[in-house]
Amino acid sequence: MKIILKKDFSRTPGARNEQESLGFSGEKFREELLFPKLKEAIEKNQKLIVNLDGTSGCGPSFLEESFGGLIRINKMDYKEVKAKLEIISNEMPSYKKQIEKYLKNAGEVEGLV
Amino acid sequence: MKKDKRKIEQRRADKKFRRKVVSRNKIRKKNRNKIGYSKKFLSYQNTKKQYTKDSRAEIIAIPSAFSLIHNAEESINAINKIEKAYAKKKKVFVELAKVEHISYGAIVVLLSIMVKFKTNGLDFNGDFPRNKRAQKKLSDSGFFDFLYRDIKNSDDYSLGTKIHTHANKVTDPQKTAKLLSQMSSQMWGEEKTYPNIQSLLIELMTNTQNHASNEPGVNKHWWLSANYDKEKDVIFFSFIDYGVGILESINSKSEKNCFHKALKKLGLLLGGKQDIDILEKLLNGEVHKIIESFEKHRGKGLPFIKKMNEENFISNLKIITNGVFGNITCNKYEELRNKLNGTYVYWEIKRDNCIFENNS
Repeated sequence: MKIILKKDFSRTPGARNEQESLGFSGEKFREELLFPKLKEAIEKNQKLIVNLDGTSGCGPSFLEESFGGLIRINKMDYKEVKAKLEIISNEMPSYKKQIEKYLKNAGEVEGLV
Repeated sequence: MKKDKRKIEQRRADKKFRRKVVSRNKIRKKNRNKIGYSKKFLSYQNTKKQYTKDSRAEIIAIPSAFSLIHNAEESINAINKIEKAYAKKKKVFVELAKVEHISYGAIVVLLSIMVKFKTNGLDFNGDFPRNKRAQKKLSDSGFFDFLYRDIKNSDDYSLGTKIHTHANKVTDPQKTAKLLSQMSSQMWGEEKTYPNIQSLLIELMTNTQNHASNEPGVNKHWWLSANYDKEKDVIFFSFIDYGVGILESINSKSEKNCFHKALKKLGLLLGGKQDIDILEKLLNGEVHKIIESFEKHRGKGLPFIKKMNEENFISNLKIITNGVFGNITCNKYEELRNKLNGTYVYWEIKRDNCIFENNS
């Protein structure tokens, strides 16, 4: 299963949540696309590949709300998310490291790591 | 009798002639002061005289080097005077005649102030720099196009065609992405994306939205100006908001706020000489490290901005907020006597700055 951020969501991702952003927020991305697709991937025992290349750029707040929010807000299991989520980010490899850090921080807060 | 009459007439004629000569000399002397000035400039000086006589007006002199980066104290002092006049609902005449150097950042400040006055129905006028280079720079920004126009109150502004200036009250990633494409097109001859600069702009816009205003439900405008200077082969960026400023924003929040608690743990007090240390620690991420784990997802914006400079995605980063001037590239922080009510961020993109993380 795949999500290509620039094609399936927006070429210009925005800020953290809908109040802040005229464009497309991390909150909207998570609630409308990432969370439902990841949930489906877990149920079908498949991997969800999220490709972040080709956008104008993703801010730290967008990434944290999108991915960290899976655990903080959607209360997903950290280990399940880690096992089933794969990030592709060739233009900006640091996005992958940032997302791992946000997932880990969120997991620690929830006592899941 | 006839002789007397002739004498009287002669005397009258002499007197009239003498008066004419005095009057002609007076006019010559007056005109000598106007030699070399255009009619347009002279008309501004006449307008200025009217402001001098009006008790509800203020004439504010702008320093000859109008730049927040190179002449922060005098420039911020002038800005604060204009802000005070705005608070008192006074008309303002901005004396730009003596300006020899005006930076792109100062231009965005002037534009934002002009819009603020005009949208609130307050008279905003001024003359223009006699220095041709400064005059051209101001003209390229669209300043004079809007000075004589009515400007409607809006959330969204776009000014200038050579110096691009945009403003809004919300985060607008589409606008900034378009601006970066335009700038890169001028520098490289083709449109490029700058993901990290885009991220930086999103963080700055979001910070303005979330922290610039202390009044609930009231949002402040952010102003962004970008310009490609062909001579220097550099893209200049200036971002400003007239909110409360980074430090004052934290200071005004409750003591239960995560930043307040973190600063307390570091033994730092806001509102005094430690403001310099506080800004440095906010940018270094040292405050963020101490923030309690359940709020650790907050406070990423400022360290990210500094990281962009360190990793060569941007150059020459400078931040002015409240009473602190941070030259981030040189790692020097200074206290300012004249405090800026807001946050000003300046950086440059040069040809040798990285665009993507794989160095392409």
